[in-house]
Amino acid sequence: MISFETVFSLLIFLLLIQSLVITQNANQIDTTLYEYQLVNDIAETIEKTNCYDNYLTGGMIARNNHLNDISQGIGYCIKVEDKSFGIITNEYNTCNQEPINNVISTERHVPLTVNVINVKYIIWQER
Amino acid sequence: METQYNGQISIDLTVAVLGIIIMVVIGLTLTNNISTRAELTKDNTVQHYRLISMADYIVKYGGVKIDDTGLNDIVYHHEFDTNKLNAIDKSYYINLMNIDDLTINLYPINYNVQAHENYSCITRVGIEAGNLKKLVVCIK
Repeated sequence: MISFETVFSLLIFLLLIQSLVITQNANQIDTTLYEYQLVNDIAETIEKTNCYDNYLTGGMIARNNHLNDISQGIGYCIKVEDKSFGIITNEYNTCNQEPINNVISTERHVPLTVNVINVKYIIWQER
Repeated sequence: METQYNGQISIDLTVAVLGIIIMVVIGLTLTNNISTRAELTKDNTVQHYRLISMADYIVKYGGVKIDDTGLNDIVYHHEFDTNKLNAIDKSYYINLMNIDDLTINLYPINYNVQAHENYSCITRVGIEAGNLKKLVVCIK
């Protein structure tokens, strides 16, 4: 049999914990919008520097250098997946980590001389 | 006998009242703490969205190449124009956003920017003259 005092004490303790959790969460700023802008910046910048032009003759290497520079510059990890006919043909990761949950990503269709690839950019911060 | 009971009741009452006082004090302190932090977070959030808006405006119009064709301007978003960046009227935006200071700088992408004290900054990515650049917008 649990006494009334035990139940009451547990209730107060739970309220205390809940208050602390609320206080902790209230401190965090939602950066989703900024991260969404950032991942689109990366896609736009890569497109505007014509990194796809010589894709089949070494363009990927140039893009990887760009991606490493951008990744270090903004402090986010970047992963790129190139898909052709739904199959990943190339992928590149600027950090030695796989993306964590709740990452921000964007996709672009890039017409090449032989076919159209779907490029997916994913960004996340290292834990 | 009666005196002994009266003493016990007083001790029980004192302990109970002390417990209630401690709980009320803890409750009030917590509420005050939550309220203060919420106020601070609100200020920081407002500051964060001001920064986002300012940087987005620069990346998409205010600090990029624009071809004035007469009828419709052709805007080259993400392609920074240093003349346009330097021409941004900072005092106008300082007054508009009710902030103390605004700094807008363009750096090479791998340049390590040192954060200034009391400034909130965000970074955007683009190109300038074909080179990768990062735009750092800070407000105080």
